[in-house]
Amino acid sequence: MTNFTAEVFQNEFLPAGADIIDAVVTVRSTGDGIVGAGRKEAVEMIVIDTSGSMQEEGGRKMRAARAATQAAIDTIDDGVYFAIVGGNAGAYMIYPNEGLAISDPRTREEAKQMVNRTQANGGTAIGTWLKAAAYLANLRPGAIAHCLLLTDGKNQHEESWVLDNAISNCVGLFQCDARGLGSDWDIEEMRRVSSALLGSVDIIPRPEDMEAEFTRLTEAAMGKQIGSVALRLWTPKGSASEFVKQVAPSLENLTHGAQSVNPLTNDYPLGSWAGEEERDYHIRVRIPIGNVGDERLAARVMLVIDGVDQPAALVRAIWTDDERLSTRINREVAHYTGQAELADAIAGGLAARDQGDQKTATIKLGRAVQIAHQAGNGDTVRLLQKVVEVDDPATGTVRLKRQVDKADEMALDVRSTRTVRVNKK
Amino acid sequence: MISCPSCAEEAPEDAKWCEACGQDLNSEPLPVCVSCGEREVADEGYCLSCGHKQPAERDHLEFEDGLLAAVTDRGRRHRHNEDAVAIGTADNGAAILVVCDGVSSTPGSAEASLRAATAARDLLQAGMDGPDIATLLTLATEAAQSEASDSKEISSSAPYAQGGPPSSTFVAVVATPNGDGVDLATAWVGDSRAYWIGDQAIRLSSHDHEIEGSLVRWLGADSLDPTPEISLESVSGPGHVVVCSDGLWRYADHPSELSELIARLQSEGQRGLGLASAMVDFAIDGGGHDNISVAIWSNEPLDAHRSQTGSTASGAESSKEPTQ
Repeated sequence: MTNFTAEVFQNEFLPAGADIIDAVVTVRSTGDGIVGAGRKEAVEMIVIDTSGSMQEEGGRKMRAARAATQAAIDTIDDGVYFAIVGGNAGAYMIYPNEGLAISDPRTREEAKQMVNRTQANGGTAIGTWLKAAAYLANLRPGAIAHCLLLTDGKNQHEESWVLDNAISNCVGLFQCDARGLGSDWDIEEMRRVSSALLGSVDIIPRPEDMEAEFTRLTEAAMGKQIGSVALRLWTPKGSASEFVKQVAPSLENLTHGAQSVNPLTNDYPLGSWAGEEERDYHIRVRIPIGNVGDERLAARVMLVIDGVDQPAALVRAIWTDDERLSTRINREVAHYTGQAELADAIAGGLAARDQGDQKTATIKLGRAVQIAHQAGNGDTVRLLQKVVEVDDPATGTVRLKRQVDKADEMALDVRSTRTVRVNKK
Repeated sequence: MISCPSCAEEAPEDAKWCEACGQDLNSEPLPVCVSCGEREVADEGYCLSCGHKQPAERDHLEFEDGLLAAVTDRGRRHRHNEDAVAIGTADNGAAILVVCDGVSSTPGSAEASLRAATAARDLLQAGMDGPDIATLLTLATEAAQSEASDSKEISSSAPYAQGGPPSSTFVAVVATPNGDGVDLATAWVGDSRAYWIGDQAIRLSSHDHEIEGSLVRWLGADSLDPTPEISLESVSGPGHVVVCSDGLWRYADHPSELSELIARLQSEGQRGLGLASAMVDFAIDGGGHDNISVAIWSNEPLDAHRSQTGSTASGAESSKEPTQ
């Protein structure tokens, strides 16, 4: 059994005339990660870049990719449907020859042998790779499907719209964690993939880091046995959801994934879940203004687990002329508003730096250091220190470094959306 | 034929479900929202269409009994109404007015105030041919104290939430017509008040049990001194007994302010329950910082006022000049 709970953090008091209500909703799963009757069917797909560039550095990248994929295969549970796909200007099956294999010691051994024979050559067409994964996932409709996608380069051999089309065809079919090896790939492209497919994106700076990362990702995927979780949001007539964002463990805007249930209710898919997880969401709703003294339900948050509603958490709005109440700052909302500003400051600072606007870059990256320092984003501070010299973290006084490793800059960029939880007192 | 409450499709009288939309035709229709008028109020008390929180029963209550009227209201700041009012007429014609102001910082005070006010009113109503009025008021206060100390929150074994056990103020007036005038007997504990606003005299019959804004006497399990102070007086001529919580008197503190308010509202045609409601509205318009309760009694028939509105209002104006 797995139980889901939703808890709302907000300041429900609004000054007269205000129409925006903010709330942070913590969604928590507790239990063994199984919902309903036993374990659900699962599909694991590993899609690895086998373009020519993987053969550079004396084949070091390709050797590491083979070893990492083999390690990942070892973590696939018995009975899970799986496939290993190679990608270049097209996509091809590494194992099995077609369709999906069922994991057992023999099929895993065969798969590892086939991975060993993989050679690298040709271009990069990520949309085509995703189409192959969509085809495979469609063979087991209703299963919990996960894809691990690795590239070391940019999507050079197809138009951007081809990738976009492929991504939209995969939405709802499987969840995808996208990884870029080295520093020649495009963060924006990979983020498009992972955002739409409710997964993560990250850099693997060196080939030797690949094995540990692949193992970690497939193990995590094996743990996510609750396939379809959605946040169902009711808001009153005449209102508008300004946004629904995941804010922990990372920032992810879910607003555009809304699926209408009825004129007042939308579902926001949250992807698959494990038994013991906690994620935070920031919801902002614009509601019709009430009179001082009125109370209005601003949102009702429900979780839909495999199509079944769970009890609701309520976001309330109470209009008051008592300033002590309406000016109270909710700790959770303030914290995640700060985390969003941190991500924006990093993105803006790096963009300004790229364009040679040193002044803007220094201000924004300085502000990022300041927020990260205050909020306790220790990992982010360390990433920032590879790009700027920090003179005083408390005031955000920094100087841009002259020499910055491209991979360090990319790591800062791609991890800028990682957040820390608000300190629970 | 009946029509579906959800989609208005016609269905046979004995139909269980609407063929068009699947609505359960035997289910109780949802209550209507006080704000948007949709039939959409769910169990939690919020409208499923506009989200408006439906008022709780205690948020606003009105009572009327002959020449007696009382209104209690949540006001604009507080989330709950912890005030309670109780009115009644005894067999000998005496009017009984009780107001209890539950202390909002202590959970369970709403229950304590309601039980205290009701118990005091019931005892006074039943005991008029018994002991003298001062003794009767003391007994009524003891009954109120007993109820206030024995509410649900008290009897549960859980330790008191912050703020202590439930507590409440108390004020009760017995107004007995006596020829031309009225005998007034007032008992109070705390800062709820009783006023006489007459054509010939205006006065505050109680004085607040507070020091520098803090209550020093109250009813409740942790009360250090729940004994009432009692005042007996006789007044003559027409007038009003006004018993109220601080939610009203903070906006009309001095008897002359209350007298002006009543004269103004009477000149606008307010009598009885209408007058009590208008006094509550006055406090809400002033900010409604606290729960507001007012109980009033007039010692002349309502229609007598109606026929001589002008003279009563101007009489009130002239009679209170000296006190200003």
